Amino acid sequence: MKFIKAIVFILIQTACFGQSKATVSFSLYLADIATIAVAKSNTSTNFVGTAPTLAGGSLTFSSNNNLWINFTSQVPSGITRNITAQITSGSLPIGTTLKLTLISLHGTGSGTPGTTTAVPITISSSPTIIIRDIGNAITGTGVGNGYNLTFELAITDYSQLRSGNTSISIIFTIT
Amino acid sequence: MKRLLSIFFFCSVAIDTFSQCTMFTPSISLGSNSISASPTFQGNRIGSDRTPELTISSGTLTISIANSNTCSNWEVSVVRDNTINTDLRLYVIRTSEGIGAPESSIEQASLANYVEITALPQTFMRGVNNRSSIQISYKITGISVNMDASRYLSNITFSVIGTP
Repeated sequence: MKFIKAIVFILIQTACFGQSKATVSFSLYLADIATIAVAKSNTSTNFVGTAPTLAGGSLTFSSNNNLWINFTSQVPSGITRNITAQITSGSLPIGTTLKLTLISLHGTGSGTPGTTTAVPITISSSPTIIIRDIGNAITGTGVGNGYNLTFELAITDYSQLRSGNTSISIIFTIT
Repeated sequence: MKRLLSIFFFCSVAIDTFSQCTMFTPSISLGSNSISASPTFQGNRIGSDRTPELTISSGTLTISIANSNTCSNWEVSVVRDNTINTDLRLYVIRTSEGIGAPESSIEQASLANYVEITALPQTFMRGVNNRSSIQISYKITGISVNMDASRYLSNITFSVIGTP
């Protein structure tokens, strides 16, 4: 009997105090993002050949590791990005080759920042993938965050080497 | 059965006679039936994350309660559906008293605190009598680059119920 009374009470409540609803549709749009920058106050890098101390020795160039790649990537599900490097203006001195080694992510990054190889990568006038399989990731900003770049200029053919100055530009692209 | 009918009759008569309140169903309407947001970045966007928190305020974000009267208490609750990414958390806050007859009133701590909108109904505010243009704001937290690029959708439902 108590059970029936409870049901009756609920029915009366419902009859006396009805309910009205209003719905709002909420939409948050997170767009694709692919931004990249090279971090260092001065992004010019100089390689100066040092003469050997002993006659017959090799000409050497100091390596440069002052540059860092920062990026932010946000991708749709199932999509990944790569970063390529490419010489876009100027030419390397004949008889030399430019090698790039990346050291994996440092600093305040998070997410899926992709992978690279420890083996030096030859940079040419064709786009070369230097970091692959980047997902949703940030590297942090500025020097000390992201991938550290180490450039080395190596002599491949002394017979073609000439003295002089050469400038080249390298563009990094995230796609 | 006779007894049940007599109980129902007694309750109806009692409400009409002693409280001078007729049976009512308060109604709720919203100033805007859609909200869209596009988060920004904190500082330099290259290498940095999105701003994790976003507040949505607009003159059109209002709630109005009608079909009530001076002895009619009402309560508004809020709930969302389950479609949105679990990293995102939605909140709503009442930012004004709204407009109403002198004998109307509104209460609930939501003027000072955000109420999280979850998949379970949460009490948002209470009041008496008709009240219109009650300003509200929304807040979203948990926004990050680490979420897939996409459009995240959810339906938020406000319900008003007459209370004894």
